Amino acid sequence: MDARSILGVMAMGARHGEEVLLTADGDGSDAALDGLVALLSRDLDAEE
Amino acid sequence: MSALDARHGIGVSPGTAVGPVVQVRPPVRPPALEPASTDPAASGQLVRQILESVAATLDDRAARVDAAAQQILAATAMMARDPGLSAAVDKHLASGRGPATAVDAATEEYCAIFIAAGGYLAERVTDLRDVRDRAVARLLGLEDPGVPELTEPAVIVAHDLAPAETAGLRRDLVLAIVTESGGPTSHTAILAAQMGIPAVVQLPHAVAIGDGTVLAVDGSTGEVFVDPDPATRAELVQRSERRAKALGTTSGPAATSDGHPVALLANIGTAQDAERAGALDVEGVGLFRTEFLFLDRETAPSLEEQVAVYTRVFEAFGTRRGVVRTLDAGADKPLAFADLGHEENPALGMRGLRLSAERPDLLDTQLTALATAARATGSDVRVMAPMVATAEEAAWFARRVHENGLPTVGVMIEVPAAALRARHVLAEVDFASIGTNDLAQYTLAADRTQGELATLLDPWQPALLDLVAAACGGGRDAGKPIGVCGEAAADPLLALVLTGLGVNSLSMAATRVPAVRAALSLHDLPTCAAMAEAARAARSPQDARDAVLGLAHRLMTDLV
Repeated sequence: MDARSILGVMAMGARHGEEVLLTADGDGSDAALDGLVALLSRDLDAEE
Repeated sequence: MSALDARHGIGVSPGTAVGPVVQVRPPVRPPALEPASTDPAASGQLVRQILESVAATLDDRAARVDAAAQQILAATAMMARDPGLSAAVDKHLASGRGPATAVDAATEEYCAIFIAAGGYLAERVTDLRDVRDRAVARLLGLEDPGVPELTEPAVIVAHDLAPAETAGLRRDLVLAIVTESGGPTSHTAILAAQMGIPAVVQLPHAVAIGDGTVLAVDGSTGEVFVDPDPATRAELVQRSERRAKALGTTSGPAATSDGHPVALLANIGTAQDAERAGALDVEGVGLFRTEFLFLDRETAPSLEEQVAVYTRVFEAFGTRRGVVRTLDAGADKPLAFADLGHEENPALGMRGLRLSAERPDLLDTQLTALATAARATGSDVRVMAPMVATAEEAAWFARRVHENGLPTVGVMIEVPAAALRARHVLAEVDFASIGTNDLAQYTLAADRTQGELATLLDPWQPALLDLVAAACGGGRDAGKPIGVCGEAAADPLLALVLTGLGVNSLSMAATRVPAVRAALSLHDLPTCAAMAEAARAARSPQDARDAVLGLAHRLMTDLV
């Protein structure tokens, strides 16, 4: 899945608690992945 | 200059306005037999350019709206730029489809996945289809569909407007709304009245009027003048001045000229409505439609959320009365969290109190929240149930309301059975409120969402007035007050008839209250009773209205 595609990511239908594998390369890829991991480990709906 | 082009629709929200037309275009479909692309690679490039231009428009709009709308528009722009979407378009182009058909097919593939996923993802389908509709229109060389961004005050003209489109209109830039279809009790008409925007529905050939053409609109009489001459404009202005003068003469609690009190109340749907209406000269809320809290969401609103909203609503009205209708959903207003399955006849199905009987947990949470908010604010809170048909249902509801610590309970009379047996229904509760829109729908067996049935749904239908009379008779026998909270209450002339039939309170869009108050102050109770008799003796809605107008004060012509 190309994560640049918002529609593709939405269509995966991944729900909170499900495990997803993220890969990235290029400049700043480690920082980007760390940010995404931090984001995904939160329950965004519960914070509203 | 050519002869005056005057047309008649149905006035659904009073007030006059003159301004240029902005047409709301319906979405276009790709041509049924669009030829295959001769050069799929070039077509792919063209589609990418079009999608980029759609994204740019959305970004541009996003820069000028509030933060919440900004996020939605920015996310929608990302969908338009999505590499996965253009790759899917390429696939359809290569398989022999034309560009517009390929865009349609590619977006629908994603829509199907989101709809199957349900909930939040299914709600995004609207945004993706917005991208599709714009792209398809642009590929065909047409203007974008939907409500265009307004830069100057305008008269909005459409075949019909969705409630969401109406709610999104800017009050400061929309002078009036004119639609070719839609009925007087459609939600668009109700919203326009609540927003205080003059509106006319069912205007013949409205969508054929060109953008920029000047229209003069009278939302009271339903008259619309195309390219009005100066004399017509002046007459319209004078009419609204005479009206304003007639309205300015009374204030405070309403009564007939001989002192018979009639409580005039506001219909509201949200806390914002409550705050707007609470600032006006009304005696309280006669109908708080709570379903807006429940619709369009995946889970039921929590107790805390409900307490917060109800508290805000009651605070806006202080010690004035607040009549709250419990959740009126089901059937055509389905709830994601209380899906009772497909129904052949939703309007005759598990809606209103019937849904509450099936899901008492939803009702109990709502009643607990209402009781909590009532205690916190010290307001005069009265709770009523929608779609009650029998005395047993009324008794069941009253028990549940009392168990939750709320002292005053009532029912809506929308079902003919409840009107005919009002004496027994009212023996179980403290009051009733007649919902004339649904009562007309069930009495005349005419779907209220179908514009072409509007004449059957006319609130002047003598059969409907007979049922109101029956309900009032039951109220008198039981010694309990009866209100009306349908749009009928907002017609100043009909309000006199309802008063004559024995109705004690009238609830309407708050902006309509001054006209009704002025009408009541011009007539005494015996005249209202004579009007009621004349209306019921008539054989058609038109005859009924004419007969009543014949008995009315001469100033009434400026109020109706």
